[in-house]
Amino acid sequence: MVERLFIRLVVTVALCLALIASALAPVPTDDLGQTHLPAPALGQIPLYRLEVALFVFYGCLLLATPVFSGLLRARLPIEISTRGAKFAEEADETAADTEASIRAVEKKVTQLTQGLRDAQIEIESLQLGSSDSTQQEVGSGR
Amino acid sequence: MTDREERDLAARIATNSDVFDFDRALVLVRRRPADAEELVRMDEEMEQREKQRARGRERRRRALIEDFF
Repeated sequence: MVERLFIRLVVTVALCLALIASALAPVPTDDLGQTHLPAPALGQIPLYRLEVALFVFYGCLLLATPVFSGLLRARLPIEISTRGAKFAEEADETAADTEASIRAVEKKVTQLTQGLRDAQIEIESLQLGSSDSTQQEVGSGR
Repeated sequence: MTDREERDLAARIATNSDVFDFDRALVLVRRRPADAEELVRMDEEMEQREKQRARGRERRRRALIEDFF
């Protein structure tokens, strides 16, 4: 709960910084005072400001992700790429161990249930054999 | 239950079972059909849970890789 609140706060701060940077970023000009935008802006000031906003926003997130996971969870990403941060798969391995344990327990329960049913059949067979030989009911209550 | 159905049920119980072979399973099916059907249901539930676990594994894998976005 606190973590989610903190994430919302960080993203909000990142967004505000991006918007402020976008609004306050000076437009580059040449010696003659004419705008001289970088090539990715395609000569358009709104596109330039949008790119500044995106740059600041994703830059903040890129910085915030390892800081957040490192400080709050004591866990650092092993890789940060365009697909995002990749963390060590300890959690996955723990879950896999738990799954294996559950699977083993389920198998054991099934075996025990089958064994119980088999034993019941065996007991019934013995009781039937006994009643056949003695011609009387063995105290099974049936 | 027809003889064919009994044999099918027995075959399903005997498959992957360490306790029942086919003949023993057939005896169970004939003497205790309700128990036999319960065993088959247990197997089906285990298969369902295994599929759920597989889906959970896939979700976890994606969450670990794409935790950022």
